[in-house]
Amino acid sequence: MKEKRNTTDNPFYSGSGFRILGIGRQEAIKYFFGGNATIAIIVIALIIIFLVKESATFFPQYRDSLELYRKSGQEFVDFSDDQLKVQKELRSLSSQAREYEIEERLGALYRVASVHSDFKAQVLKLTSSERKAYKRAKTKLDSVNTAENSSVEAKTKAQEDYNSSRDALKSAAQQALAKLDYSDLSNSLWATDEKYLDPIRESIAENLLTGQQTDFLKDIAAQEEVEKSTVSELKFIRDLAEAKEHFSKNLPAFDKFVTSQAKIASQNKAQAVNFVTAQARRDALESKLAITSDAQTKERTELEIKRIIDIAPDYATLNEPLYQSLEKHQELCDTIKSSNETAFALVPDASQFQSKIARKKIDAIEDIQSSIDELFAKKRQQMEVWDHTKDYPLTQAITGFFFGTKWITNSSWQDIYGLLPLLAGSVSVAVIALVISIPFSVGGAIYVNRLSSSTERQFIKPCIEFIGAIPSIVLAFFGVVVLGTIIQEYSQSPLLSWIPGFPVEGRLTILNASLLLALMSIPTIFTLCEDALNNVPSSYKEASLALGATKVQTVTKVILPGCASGIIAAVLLGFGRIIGETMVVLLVMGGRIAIPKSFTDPAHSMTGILAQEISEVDRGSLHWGALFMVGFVLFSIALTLNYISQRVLKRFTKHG
Amino acid sequence: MSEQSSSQNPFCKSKSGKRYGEKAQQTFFCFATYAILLCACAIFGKIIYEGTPVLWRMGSDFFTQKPQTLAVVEAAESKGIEVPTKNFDNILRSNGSDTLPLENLEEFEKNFPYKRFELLDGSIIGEGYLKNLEQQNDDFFLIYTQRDTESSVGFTVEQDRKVTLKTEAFNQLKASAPELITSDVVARDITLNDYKLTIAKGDYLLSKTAHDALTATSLVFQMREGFADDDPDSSEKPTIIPSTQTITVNSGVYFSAFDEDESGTLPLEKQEELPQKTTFHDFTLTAGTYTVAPDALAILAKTGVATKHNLERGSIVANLKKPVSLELSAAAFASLTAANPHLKLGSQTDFEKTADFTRFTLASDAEIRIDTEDLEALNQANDKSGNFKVNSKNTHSYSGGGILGPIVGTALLVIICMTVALFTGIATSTFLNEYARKGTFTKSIRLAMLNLAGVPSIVFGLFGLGLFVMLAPLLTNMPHTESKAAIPLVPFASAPQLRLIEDKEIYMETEKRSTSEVITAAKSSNKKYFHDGWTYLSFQGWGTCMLAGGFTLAIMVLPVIVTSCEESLRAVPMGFREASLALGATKWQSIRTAVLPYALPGILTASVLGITRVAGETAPIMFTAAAAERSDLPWQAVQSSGFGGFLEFLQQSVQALPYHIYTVAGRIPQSEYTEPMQYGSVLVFMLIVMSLAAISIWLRIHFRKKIKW
Repeated sequence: MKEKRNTTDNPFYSGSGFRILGIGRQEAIKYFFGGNATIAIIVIALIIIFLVKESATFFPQYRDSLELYRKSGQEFVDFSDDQLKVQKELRSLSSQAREYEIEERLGALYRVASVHSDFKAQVLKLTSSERKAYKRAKTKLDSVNTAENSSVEAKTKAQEDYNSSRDALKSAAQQALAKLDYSDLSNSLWATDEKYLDPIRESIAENLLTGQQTDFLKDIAAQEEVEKSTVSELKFIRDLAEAKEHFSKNLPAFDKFVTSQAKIASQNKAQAVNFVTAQARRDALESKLAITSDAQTKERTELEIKRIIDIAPDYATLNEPLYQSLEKHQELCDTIKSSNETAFALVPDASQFQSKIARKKIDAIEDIQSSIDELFAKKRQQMEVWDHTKDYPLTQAITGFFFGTKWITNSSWQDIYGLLPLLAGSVSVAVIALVISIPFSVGGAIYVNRLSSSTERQFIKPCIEFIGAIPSIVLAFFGVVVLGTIIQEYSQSPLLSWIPGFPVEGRLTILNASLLLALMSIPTIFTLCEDALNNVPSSYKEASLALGATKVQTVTKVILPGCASGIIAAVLLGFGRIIGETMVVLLVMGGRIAIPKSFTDPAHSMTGILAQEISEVDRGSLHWGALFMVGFVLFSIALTLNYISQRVLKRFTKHG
Repeated sequence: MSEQSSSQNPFCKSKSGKRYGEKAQQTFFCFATYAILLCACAIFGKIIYEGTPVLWRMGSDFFTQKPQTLAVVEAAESKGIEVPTKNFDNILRSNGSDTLPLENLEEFEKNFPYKRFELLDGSIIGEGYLKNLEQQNDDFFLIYTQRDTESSVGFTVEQDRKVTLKTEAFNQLKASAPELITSDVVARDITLNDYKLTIAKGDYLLSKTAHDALTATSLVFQMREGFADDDPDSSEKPTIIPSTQTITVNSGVYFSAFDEDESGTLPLEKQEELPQKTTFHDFTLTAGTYTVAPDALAILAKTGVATKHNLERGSIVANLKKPVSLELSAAAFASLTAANPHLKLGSQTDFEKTADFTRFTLASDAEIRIDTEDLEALNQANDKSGNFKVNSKNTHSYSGGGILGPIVGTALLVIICMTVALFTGIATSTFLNEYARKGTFTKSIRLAMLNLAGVPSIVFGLFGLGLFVMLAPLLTNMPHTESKAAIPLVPFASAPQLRLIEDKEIYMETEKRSTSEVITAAKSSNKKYFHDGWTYLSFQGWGTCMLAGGFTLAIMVLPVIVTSCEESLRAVPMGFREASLALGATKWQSIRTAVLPYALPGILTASVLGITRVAGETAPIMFTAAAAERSDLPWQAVQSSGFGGFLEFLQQSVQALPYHIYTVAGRIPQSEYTEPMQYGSVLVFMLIVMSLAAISIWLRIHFRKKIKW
């Protein structure tokens, strides 16, 4: 209304008379701005539409793919393959436990050989030119000496050359060696007892000149052999070795059985896929035929159409050998079960082991022991009731995606898309990061807002904002190159061994990523918390102080409860930011697709899998749909977190 | 203060233990704050500590060279190596000048005989020779429109060679170029059988060789499963012969598909031999340079005579508005004129190119880090003398050279993104703050903004991939065959030039058919694009390019821009608007003159803040704009001119600094040789982003302090 009057009643205003469809210039400008403003709505809508559109076809497609998986008998084979995997796991766990224990008992001695070879490699590199000169001189000398007609002068000359080059090499090697220290090792975990350092140096120098194994090394090897045999003679180690024998006794037969079945199933699958795709090929050829006028091409295309298969594979006959194999499978299972019983009885108690990792492995064996019978029985049961003609319901495909524990892609066997390992990775890294970051960010906000002096505040606040601007790829790089190694090294320290999951085995772990993500989320949470603290009415503080509370008491007892919902909202937003972060989890988390058991395991994440796989996928394929589905889940999580935090914030502002 | 309040307060039961607790709490809060700052300092410190030496060593070259593959070479023979001084300096820099054991350094000048000539309109030139010319002359790029299959072509035979031809080809050659056949011709007859075979209906197994041979025949057979192309030793696969058939095949097919001694697996019901006689003619082609018709050369090329002519498509007719001056080394020029008899050349001048070279001796067995380009130059310069021999060579991708491409790419992305984001951002915030009344509309806009701010950046990447890369509309005369929807708009469009048609594999429609038919035809002839004389609005996406990346980033940064722009607009006092309106200005006039200028500092801050966010993002550009490797800068690949050229420029993919870091830190194997590049580029990237961040923070504090209405 106001505008109307402006333009028409105003005597100072010279109207331009610009009008299209009854819209004047002012309105046009207004609508133009308004149109720009709707972009946000349009984009949100488009994002939702895209994610839904691309992922909508996923579940039906996935169902079809799984139905083929069943029809071709691959599902049947996978049941026994699962059994095989557990058995293999038992074998490797028992041998690993033994190895780690022997390594632990041998202690410093065990690592001498690796230090020796590592140092040698470094020295070889440093003295490469001297070494080659020496080699040349040596060949020269040999050839001169063996040649019949060489003069005495030539011989002495060659000998001199040889001597000088040998001395040069020796001094160069010694110089290089003197500089080498345990801190120069390419893997600092190999650092061994100081008393071995000098003998190692001498031995390398000697080895370089003679090229033969030195006495020191032989000695060490012999010592190691003796130690090893004494350790292996320990009763529980012997028992473990025997248990391993029993675990692996029936493996080859079972492995062969599964492989032969897998071959049948994959042939079935190839026929099934060929038949399923035949229609599409025929359609493409027919539409080509319709537009070609060239007689020769036409003839060729007709022939190609005739060559396309039109007889469906007979799944009943194809799967017959699988049904037949049930008896053989029962036999194999029985023998494995009996040998496993002996083996489990032999597995020594974890308390006898000195190595922490070995104890972990033994615990894992015990875990399997408690569940293996059940697993074998369950798989056997599934095999017995298995029927290739049974339909694969859509609901099963949906639950299979959301609760599946495997994410297998580009497989020649069967692609399986299970969200759980990715979700678990994303959530666990975010939760750990949050646990680390909350004390710092909330504590920091309290300090800056309530306890610090104003100069401090003016310095710290921009600094933290500044930290918020660090690009995530820089942090990711830092994690890969620096932080991983630091964590790995320091976690070996016995002081920290009480922490579950320590010592850390790899560089790229959830812990590493969550430390970086914590730093990344601090500025977000800090700023929002500070705002929340600022919004607490000053009367709260005044009343509390007037009642005689101290400054810290006021903060913890009055101010914090007063802005609790603001802080919760801040934490939720921080959580949203972490869970949507890509580069750090992609580079630093290790990229192993499995549900992590401890916070020092490597894992994969939803954002990471998107970044890693989407560029290599054909548009519209099953894999593409699965990735967009992951994106959709991610988007929903982020929006939900956003929504909840807004609600919390709203309630807070109303009551605050 | 706090001390006093707790001790002098009669209500407060002061317990010393409690006071310690309190102290501890306070210390904890203080510690938490400074721990954050310390962590950040540690990260910055480490990167600066490791990165500065790299930048120091590389100097400005780090910013003016593109990323390359780094080769680590151990040289064997190394006396008197020659290399252009330019490359030599570069090698020194990559190694750190004092670590290379160099002796006998000597600079000298070297001359190469060159020819400068003018290429005239109407010259006919072979495809391979044209490519060579274009490679040697950077500015020369011929957009030809015509090919010639008639005019004669030249070729050179280095030494006498024996040629064997079947009767048909021999007669053709004799008719076309009798001068080639100077020696005696020996004819020999060989008899091979054709076979007439009857194959019974049934289910059989078929090997891959048999399958490949049978594909060319007219036999109808249906494979139950296909053969994988990449699997050479796949086993026999089941096949169905749907009906009993009789076919005639030549001996080659017979032996591979039916002969039981070899790999034949199909049983035959009946077979009949049909003898066929073939005559071969042997003669000697004497060394020399010849000029013949293209079809004669085509026959000879099949027997192994080397030529750079494209004999299927024919030679290229140069359509030059004015003569072009070109340069070529004397030897290359000689072979060019020998092979192209219909070349029209203007003035020719001989001259010598002089280049600074450095000759040096390298202590033997030295390890050198060397960029691929320098290594090529080094190899080329010592090709003849054979002085430079390599013992061992390892390559590390992306670890050599500098980061020019990534820096340029990031800058371009930021510019495009900010242009889009600032335009819509300012418009949106003006609308929200100046025009809109409180209501469901503004509420939903704010809600959408709020949610947009919470969307993970990788989801923006997905969105950009789906919308801008693969779906966005494009006005074009040659739509992609995979276009989501191609809507014909105008029935006339300029036809693409011949060179474009060949390079981009465009299907040219000659009959008048409907769009869908044209698309099917194009697809079945394996073409990517089609042209049928219409201008289309094609929903085919912009491809992986800076435009798509810029738009994706713009959408991502929009909430940040809108929020801070709105804040700065709100800070302009209401009185300004009222005064302006009272003076009779229209709404737009008052916004333009009395509001926006005063909000400008705030908008500036917002844009710097936006740039900070955008420059640091990797995830949204990973699959919308970024290329891991690009040998040229985006504008160097543009071939058209004018507005079309600008559009083509926007459709180039770019390298981007964060993506480059991702590549060198996460996608290639790590070693000591990759580290300098990693730390160098991270340091540069961090300095850029962090200084932008510092500027934005400073600007905000500054304006907040200064501007008080």
